[in-house]
Amino acid sequence: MKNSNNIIHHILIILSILLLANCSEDDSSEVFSESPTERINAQKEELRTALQSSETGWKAVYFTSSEELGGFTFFFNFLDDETVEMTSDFDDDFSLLQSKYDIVLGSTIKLSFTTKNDIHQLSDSANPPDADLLGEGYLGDFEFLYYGIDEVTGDIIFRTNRTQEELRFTKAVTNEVENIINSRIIFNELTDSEKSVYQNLVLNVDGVTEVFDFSLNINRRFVEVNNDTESYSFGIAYNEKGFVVSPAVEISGQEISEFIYDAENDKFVADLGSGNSAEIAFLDAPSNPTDDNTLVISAINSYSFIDQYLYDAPSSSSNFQKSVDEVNVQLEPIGYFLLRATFNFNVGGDPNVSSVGYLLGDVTDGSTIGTVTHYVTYETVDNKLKLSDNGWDVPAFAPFLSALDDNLLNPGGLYVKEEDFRVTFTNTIFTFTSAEDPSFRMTTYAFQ
Amino acid sequence: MINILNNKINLTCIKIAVVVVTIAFVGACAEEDNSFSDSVLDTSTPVLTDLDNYIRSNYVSKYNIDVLYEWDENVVDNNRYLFPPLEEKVQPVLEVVEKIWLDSYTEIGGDDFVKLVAPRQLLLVGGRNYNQSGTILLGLAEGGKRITLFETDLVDLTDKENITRFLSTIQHEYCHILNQTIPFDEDGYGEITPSEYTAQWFNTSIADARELGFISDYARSSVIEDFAEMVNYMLINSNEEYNALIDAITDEEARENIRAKEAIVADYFLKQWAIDIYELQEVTARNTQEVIN
Repeated sequence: MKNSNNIIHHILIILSILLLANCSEDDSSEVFSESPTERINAQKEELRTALQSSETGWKAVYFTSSEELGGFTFFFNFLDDETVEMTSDFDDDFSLLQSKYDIVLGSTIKLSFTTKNDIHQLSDSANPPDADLLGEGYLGDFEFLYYGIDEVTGDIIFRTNRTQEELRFTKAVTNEVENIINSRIIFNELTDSEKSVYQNLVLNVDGVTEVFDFSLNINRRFVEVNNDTESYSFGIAYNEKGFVVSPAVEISGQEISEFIYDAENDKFVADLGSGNSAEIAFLDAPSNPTDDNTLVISAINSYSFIDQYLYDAPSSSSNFQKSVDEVNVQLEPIGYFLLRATFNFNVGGDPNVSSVGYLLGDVTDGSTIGTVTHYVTYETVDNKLKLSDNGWDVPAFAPFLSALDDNLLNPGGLYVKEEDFRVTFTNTIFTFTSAEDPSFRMTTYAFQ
Repeated sequence: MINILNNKINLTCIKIAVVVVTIAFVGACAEEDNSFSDSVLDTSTPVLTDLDNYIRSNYVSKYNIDVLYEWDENVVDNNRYLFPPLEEKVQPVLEVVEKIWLDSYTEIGGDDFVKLVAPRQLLLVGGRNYNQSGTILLGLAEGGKRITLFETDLVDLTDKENITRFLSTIQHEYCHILNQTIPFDEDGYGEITPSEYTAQWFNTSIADARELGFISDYARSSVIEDFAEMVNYMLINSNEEYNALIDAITDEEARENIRAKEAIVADYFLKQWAIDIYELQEVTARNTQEVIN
């Protein structure tokens, strides 16, 4: 009995020791040697140090939405722990503006530009590239989640706060701001509608040439290229040498990521290697002309340029706008201004009655005065619509309207195109471009 | 005897234990605690700019209102494309707000009026806030705690119309906060023009809305907004300007209806807040004029 008691005592003592030993085992030891707060602080400090480490500042080419917008180039110089100066190629103001930034904890450590500067222009609900993005601006962000430093390139890797798209800050070169200013010169070369409204992209691969219409939405920095069988779209960002395409686009099996401006030949060239290339140039005529010139005269149709809505349409060329301005300069002394210019084909079903009607308003109160009619005859010549004089209802008005009228009745005729975009209303848009001066393009609503 | 001895030993043990524990406690208390200075949290004093100091003295200390001008995604609607204000616009705008809104209410309602009934935060946003419908959201009052003011960057201190538009947001939103603190008689107010409230208020011009018995187009959106718009239009106009605005309405019934709403507004301010809104109107108009001059 005594023995068994002893055994029980011994077992109890051993169990107690085991229990105590187990209790003392430290199961709650940290996986990391530092607390989460310490690690967060360390990461904040790492980013803060990195941002201020570049004496020449940082450059970022920010594509806010690869589906519908191009890229904008920013220069950042982080002066101290809370001040940054920056500029960009968003507009023609290249002055360095100072504002505040902070490094804070969001879904991870993030760089936040906390007071207004250039980068916020991409997030201005009131300043979109066009009406379709009203309320959304350029879909931009100004808070960037920190994802570390690229050990090979030294880039700081971020992701955008809203969309989690990667954005890299690359160490700027010493003259980065100058490069940004020069990129605007490149921008002007590519978008100069005074050269011509027609641009094409010619792809030369293994001796075979493919031609595409090239159409750039200037405000969106977004390109569409197409021909009868293929269509591509992509965003671009300007630099001092040309422009980059991001993400790179593959056209007919050729991946294209950058075009360089060839000033001598006024072309943008992508060298695709092995003697292959893609070139963008201005043309005197569309590379793939439509037969819409026959469509517009096929029935009782009207096509009207309405100044209020179409003067600033992306397809209204600057030389067309100058023509309208000149007409208004001429009309102003007699108290009128131009409200509309309208093609009327086959009036009342009579193929012999067509006209260009100029609707005039009163400069004092904006009210409608009436229409001056220039009767015309029409014929189709080589994908063009040629209009000829057939008399005015009030001939005295002819000199006042000639700046516009001469272009519409130019001897070379008009290239006509039914466009696939809309402006403010659901009416189909048709454009009319002078064959004699391809920098003149009028935008109209169809009333078919 | 043995028991007594045992008890004495036990007592001595307890005394020794108490002394040891006490010494241990005192020792622990005497030990200098350096843990705060070694805190992993950032306990450094924030660097205050002149603007921050202005906000502390003129808003935080004086009115118990904090001003948020640096971006903080937790206090804005991230579905909208908004951005923080230009730093140099913040103080001039706050000075105008202080003069026209805070000083006017303080002069009529007393030193503690705004301090006790005020939003605890004023959030400044730089640009416009567009709704999907194309209308523009000028301001927000959230739960009586925070007023958000958009368009800070667009304030032009030389333009009365521009300042009035910006201040109208505050007058409107602050009325909501007063209403959230002490409700007004919504049922009685809503009976004046019961059938003209509509969610499609933006399809009517201000002039047309006035002919229907509303002080503005937005007033047609609901009884609560109607009340706030009445207060807003009474306070962004001088009494003469306000009366001229009512007198210009051609429909007699519409004029009478607006005057009936005005009577409820004046009664609410007087009975619930001991404020004569006509005196407040006069002081606000005077302060507005001083800002523009």
